[in-house]
Amino acid sequence: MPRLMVNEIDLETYKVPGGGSIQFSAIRPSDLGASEYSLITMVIDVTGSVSSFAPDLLKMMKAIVEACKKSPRAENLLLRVLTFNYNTNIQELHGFKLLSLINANDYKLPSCDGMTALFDATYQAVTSTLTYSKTLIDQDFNVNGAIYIITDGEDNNSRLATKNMISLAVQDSKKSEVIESLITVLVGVNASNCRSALEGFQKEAGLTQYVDVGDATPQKLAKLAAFVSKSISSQSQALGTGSASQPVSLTF
Amino acid sequence: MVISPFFLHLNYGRLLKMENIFSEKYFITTDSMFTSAQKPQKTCQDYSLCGSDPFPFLIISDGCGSSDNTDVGSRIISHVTKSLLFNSCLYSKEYSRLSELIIRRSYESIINMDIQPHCLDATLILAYIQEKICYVIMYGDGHIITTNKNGDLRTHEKVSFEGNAPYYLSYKLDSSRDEIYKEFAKDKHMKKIISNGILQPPESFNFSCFGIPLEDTKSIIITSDGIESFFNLRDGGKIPDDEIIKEIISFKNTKGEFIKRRIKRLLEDFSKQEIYNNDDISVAGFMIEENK
Repeated sequence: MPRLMVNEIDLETYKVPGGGSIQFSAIRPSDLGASEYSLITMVIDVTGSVSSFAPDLLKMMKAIVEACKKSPRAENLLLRVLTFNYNTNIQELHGFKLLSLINANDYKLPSCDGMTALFDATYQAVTSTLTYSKTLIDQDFNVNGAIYIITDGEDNNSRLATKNMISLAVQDSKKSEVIESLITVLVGVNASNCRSALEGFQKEAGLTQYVDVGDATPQKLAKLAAFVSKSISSQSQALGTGSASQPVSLTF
Repeated sequence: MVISPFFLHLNYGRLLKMENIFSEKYFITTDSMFTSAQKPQKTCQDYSLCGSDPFPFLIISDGCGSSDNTDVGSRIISHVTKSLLFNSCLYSKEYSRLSELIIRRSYESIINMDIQPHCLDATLILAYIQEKICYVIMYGDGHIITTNKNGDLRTHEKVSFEGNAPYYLSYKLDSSRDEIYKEFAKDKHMKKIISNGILQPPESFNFSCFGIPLEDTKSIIITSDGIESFFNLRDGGKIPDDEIIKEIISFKNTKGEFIKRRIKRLLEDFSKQEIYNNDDISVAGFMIEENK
């Protein structure tokens, strides 16, 4: 008889070394059974400007979770969801968890307010992923990662991180073998006004890809959900090859 | 019957009193993997299976390198063995009869395949747990490794054959091959069992049986002889078995796919040091925890 029921597994809190007060939660490695995992992070902008399409953002998040659950690689995915704005800074909806432990119906409509701490949120996501990845790799797991940062505006109020810090963290991950590969996808929604700023951020921070969704219509956000799910699946299948997956392209 | 402090080394055909099939005192995780030689690369002729139905079991099979299609044969023998786990001769410990059933049914599987019976030239190691004992039946060569509750090496049994020529079950299908082997084996101590570095008294080239009490045991690992094939590419030097075994049992995490994680990482770490295996490897293991 198994000793642990799946829904009784608690998450443990980890601190990012040298990262100031950055903390994150994740399932204990001793509760993981597979030999390899993809660490997936969704970083969602919940500043005041997204409030008009917040319900569709919520639908998108749920659709991504449900799509990932149907993937043949579902048992090798660990998902973490963050939201960010200036007022509440970065909030972890949940830490790195097995999909089987996530109930998408638990995701609630965010309270959208405040300004955009985009750099802080991106830095938090990258450093947390690398810290957890090292923990898993030290326990013989194979690990790769994917981070999706969904925003409608450029940074205007980060307190901790800069583009250069993000770039260094991403570069370090390639040299120090703490993760097999990491893709970082910046997604602009309703962001035509700051497209060049976001493209500049992507390049200067060394992020893998910038995707412009265009207007935040339900159809486009549904397409975004499909894009993210496909990208996650592709990166998960690349695990063990030593390389990142090819960037997924999609016309919105 | 030879008895060591931790092992019951059974003469084949001796029956043991069988009590309850399942042990509720222990929680047992099973895992296995097989992988081909890295240098030179070729089709993997090793195979492994594991599971918990009807009881925790491990099966590994190592196909003969000089016979054709033994990659197919080792798989067939393994799956046929798995299908016989419910068979009464396993419960009554009639391992000789079990071996005959395995090879006959394996042969029946290949009749319509246009493959020669030589494809069944493969070793077989079956380990299974009943009540509080793990039984390991080795038809051919291989290794059995156990660790104590602290995860330290406790015992290592190595079974090998003169001329690297184990007695394959498939010889029972062809009386002429069987005779040739017996003639070759005449006046020789074909089978060598080294138990914790000490050579054991000689025994017949037929199968060997081992009984391992679960008490104070953390893990039981069975492997094919492929773990003896690691060498350093730089100087061609063989890596001692002890060093390989030390790495195999260095589990960082004992849940789920504990064998796959350990062996994959072992191979990666070794390749960084230009250490490679030139024979296929199959490894399977039980991780044992006491139910509290």
